[in-house]
Amino acid sequence: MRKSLVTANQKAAWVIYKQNKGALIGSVILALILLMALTGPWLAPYDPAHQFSNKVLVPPIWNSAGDFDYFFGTDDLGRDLLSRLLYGARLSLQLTLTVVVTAAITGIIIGAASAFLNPTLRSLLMRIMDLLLSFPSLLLAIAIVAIIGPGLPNAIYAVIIVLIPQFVRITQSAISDELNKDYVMAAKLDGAKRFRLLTHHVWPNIVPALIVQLTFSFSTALLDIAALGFLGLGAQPPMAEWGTMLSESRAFIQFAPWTMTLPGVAIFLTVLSINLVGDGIRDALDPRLNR
Amino acid sequence: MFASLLKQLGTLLISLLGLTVLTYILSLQSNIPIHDYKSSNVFLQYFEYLQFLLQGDWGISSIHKRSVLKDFLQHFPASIELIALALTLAVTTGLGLGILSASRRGGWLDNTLMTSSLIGYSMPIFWWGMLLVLLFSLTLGWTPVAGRLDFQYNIEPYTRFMLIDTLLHHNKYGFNAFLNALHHLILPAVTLSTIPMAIIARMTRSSLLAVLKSEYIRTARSKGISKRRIIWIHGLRNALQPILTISGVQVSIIMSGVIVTEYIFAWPGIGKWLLEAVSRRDFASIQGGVLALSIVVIAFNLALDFLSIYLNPRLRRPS
Amino acid sequence: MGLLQVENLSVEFKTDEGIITAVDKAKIAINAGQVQGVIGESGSGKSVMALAIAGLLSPAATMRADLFNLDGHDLTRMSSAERQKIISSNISIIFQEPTSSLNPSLTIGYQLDETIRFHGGGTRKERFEKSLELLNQVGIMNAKRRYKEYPHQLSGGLNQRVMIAMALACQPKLLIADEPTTALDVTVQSQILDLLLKLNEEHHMALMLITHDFSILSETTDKVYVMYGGQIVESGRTYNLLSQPYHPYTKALLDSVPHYGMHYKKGRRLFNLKGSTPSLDHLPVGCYLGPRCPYANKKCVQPPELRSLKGRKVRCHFPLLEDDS
Repeated sequence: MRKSLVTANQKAAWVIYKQNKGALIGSVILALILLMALTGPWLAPYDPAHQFSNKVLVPPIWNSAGDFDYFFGTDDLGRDLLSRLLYGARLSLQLTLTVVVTAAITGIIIGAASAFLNPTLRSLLMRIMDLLLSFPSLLLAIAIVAIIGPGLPNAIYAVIIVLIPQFVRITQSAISDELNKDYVMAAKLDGAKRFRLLTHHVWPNIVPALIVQLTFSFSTALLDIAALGFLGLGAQPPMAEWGTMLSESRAFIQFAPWTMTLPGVAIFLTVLSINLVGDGIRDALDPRLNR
Repeated sequence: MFASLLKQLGTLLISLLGLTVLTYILSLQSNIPIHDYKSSNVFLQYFEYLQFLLQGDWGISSIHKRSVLKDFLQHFPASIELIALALTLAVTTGLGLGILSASRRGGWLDNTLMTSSLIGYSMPIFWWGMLLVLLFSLTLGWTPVAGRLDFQYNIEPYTRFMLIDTLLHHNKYGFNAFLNALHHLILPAVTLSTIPMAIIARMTRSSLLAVLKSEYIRTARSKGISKRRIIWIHGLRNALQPILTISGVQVSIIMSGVIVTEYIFAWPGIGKWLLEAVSRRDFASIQGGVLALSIVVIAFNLALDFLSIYLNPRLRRPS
Repeated sequence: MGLLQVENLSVEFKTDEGIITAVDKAKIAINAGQVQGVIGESGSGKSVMALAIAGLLSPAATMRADLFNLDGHDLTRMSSAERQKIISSNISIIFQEPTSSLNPSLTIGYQLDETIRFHGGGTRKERFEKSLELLNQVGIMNAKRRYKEYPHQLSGGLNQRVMIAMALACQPKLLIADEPTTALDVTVQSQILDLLLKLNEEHHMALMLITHDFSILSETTDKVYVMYGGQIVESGRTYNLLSQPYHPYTKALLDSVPHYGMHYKKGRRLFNLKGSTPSLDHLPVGCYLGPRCPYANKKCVQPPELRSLKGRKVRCHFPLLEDDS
C-alpha cells in the first residue's frame, strides 16, 4: 500500500517534470556536458598542458584568423583551448561531485546524530548551523582557506565545510518534525527506537528535500570552486580548471577575448542547466510551489 | 513581540560568540602573535581576545605594519559605497521587474523577463564582471576599466566615501569629480547587483501572483479599486514578506560578490584588502576582515528582521 | 421594478481534463429591495454564480449571458472596464471568511476610507466621520478604536460587520452575501443575519443570500433558487417552495434538516439521496440528479428543461405534485 503510494507520487512527479520545458532543456544540456566530461580524454585533440610555442593566442575557427587545427583557438602559452575545456569539464565535475557527496553524507550523519542529543545541545547545534548558513558562502570559504592555506585540496575542504550546514538543517528539521508528533511525544524513545524512527519515518521525509538540495548544492559548489580558482585561492595554474583558466585570461581580455568567454560559457551553461533541472525537480516534488 | 525580540537578541549573541571563536582561531594561526595574552589557558585567552577587540585593538597587519582596525576603516567606505549602490539597484530594479512581470503575466514581457532572470541567477559573477568590462569598457569605451577616480583629480579623503568627498571638493572641480566617481562606480555596482536583482525579480513575481489570488484582493476588486492600486497598495505590502525573508540571503550573496567584484575592478575596498591578506598570510588582517564583514552581514539581517516585524501588523500588534 | 435580470448565464472553466460548466444557463431576476435566497450544496455552482454576477471571476473562467441588465444598464454591450464600473457601484458582495477577505496589512479604517474614497469621496475629515458612522450602523462599538485596528485583532463576527460596513460604503442597490454566517459562531450568525435584514429595510437595498442552510432562508427571503450541478433546479416563492417542494432534490434538502419541514413525523425515516453530489467534471447524462433520485425512470436520461408550474420553475420530468406523506 505504502509502496504503491510512493510510485504513484513518483509517476506524478515525472509527469510534472516532463511538462516543464526549462527542465527538459536543462536535462539535455547537462547530459551533453556530462558526456563530454566522461569522454573528454578521448575527444580532446591534444594534451591540455602541451604548449605550441609558435601558435600562441590563435583565435577560434569562426574568426577569420582561426586555425582549423585549434577549434576553440589557443591561450597565451599556445595550449589548445578545446582540450583544456574538455579536461576542465572532467575536473570541475569530478571536484563538484566529490564535494557535494562528501558534504551531503557528512551533513546527514551530523543531522541524524543530533536525534540522539538532548534538546539543549540539539538546539545549540541548530543555532551554530544557522550561523554558518547566514555566512556569505564565499567569505566562509575564504576564511577557511585562510586558515588551512590556498591550493586545490584546501579549497575543496573549504567548499565541503560551506555546504554541510544545509544538509544538517534538512535532516534536523525532518527529525524535529517527527519528534514533535504525538505518538513520539507520548513514548519515551530509547536509542534503538530512535534509530528505527530515523530509518523508517525521517528518511522518507528527507528524500525529496534532499534531492532538491543536492542539485542546488551542485551549482553552488561548482561556482565556489571556480570562484576560488579565479581568485587564485583554489586550483593553481597550469591546471585546466575553468575558474583558473578565467583568471589566467584576465590579462588578455582585450587581445584574446575568447580565452575569457569560452571557460565562462562552460561554467555558465553548466550552472544554468543544473539550476533548470533543480527548479524542475523542486516543482515536480512539491506541487504546492507550482505556479 | 517582546518574546521575539528576546529571541533575536539570543540569536545575535550566539552569532557573535561563534564568530569571535572563529576569528580567535584565525588569529592563532599567525606566526607573529597578534595579541599578548597574560593567560596560558585557551578559554581565558579567548576572553582576553574579546577584551582586545572591544578596546579596538585588532592587531597589527604583518604586511602593512599598521593597525588592522585603522586599515579596515580606511578600506571600508569604498566597499560600503559599492554595496549600497548595488543593493539599491538590485532592490528597486528587482522589485520593479517582478511587479511588471506579475502584472503582465504570461505575456511576452513576462516571459522575456523571467528567462533573463533565470540567466541572471545562473551567472558566475566573476565572469559576468569580465564580460561587462569587455563590452562597456574595452569595446565601447563607455566606462573606466578599474579604480574609483581618474588620477587628474586630487581628492582629500575626508569621509573616504568618494561620492561625498568629490562633492566636498566642489569649489575645486565643480561636479566633474563627482560625476567621474559615479562613472567609475556604475559598472562594478551593476556587476554586483545582477544576481540579487534576478532573484528578487523572480521572488517578487511569484509572491505577488500568489497574493493576487487571495480573498482580500477579491474584496478590493469588488470595491471597484483600480488595478494599479490593487497591485501597489493591497498586493505589494503583503507580497513583501517572503521577499524580505530571502533578502538575508541576498545580503550574503552581495557580501560574497563584493570580494570578487573588487578583485575584478581593482576596487580598493575590503574585499580586495582581504584577498591580499589571505594570499600573503597576514592573519591579523584576515581575522579583522572576516570579523568586520560578518558583523556587517549580521547587522543587515537584524535590520531586515526588524523591517519585517514593522511591515507585518500580525507580528507588530498581536491580537 | 427590476433591478437585476440575468438570462442564460453560463460560466465555464478550462482545465486540463476539459471544460467544466460551473453555472449552466441560470436565470435570475431581482427587484429593488427584494430579499432572495440561493441554496445548494458546496460545488453546486452557487458561489461561482455570485462571483459572476459581481464581476469577480478569475481570468481562467469564461462567462456568457444572453441578458445581463443591471439598474437599466445593458452590461452585455459594454467593455469589461465599463461593466466593472457599473457593477461595483451597484453591487457589493461579502464572503464566507470575513477575516481573510480583509487585507491583513491594512487597518480597518484604511480599508473603509479607501472604499469611501472610490464611492463618493469627500474630504479626509468627512470620510473619517462617514467611516465611524458606518461602523456604528453595523453595530460595532468603540468605532474609533476599531478604526485603527487590523483585521487579525478582531473576531470573525466583527470582521464580517466590517465587511458589511465596507459594502454599505459603496451604497449598493444589491448586496450579495455568499454564506455570510457559515464560518461564524452560532450566536453571532443570527446577529449578522438580523443586521443584513435591518439594512435591507433601512436602505432599500436588495439582498441575495447564498447558503446551504434552509433554516436561514425560511423566514427571511421572498424567493428561493435551488441549485444542483450548476443548474437551477427549482425556484419560487419561499413559503410555497418550503411547504411543498416540487423537485425531488428540494425535498431531499428539506428533509435532511431534522425537526424541520412540514412533513416531519415521528418514526418516519429521513428521506436521503443515495450516493454523493457529483463533481462538475463528471456529471451524469440527462438529469443530473438521475442516478441518485428515488423517482427516476428511463425518461430521466433525457435532460429535463426548466418549466413553469403553478407559478414556480422546476427542472424535473416528474415533479412531486401530490403530497406523498
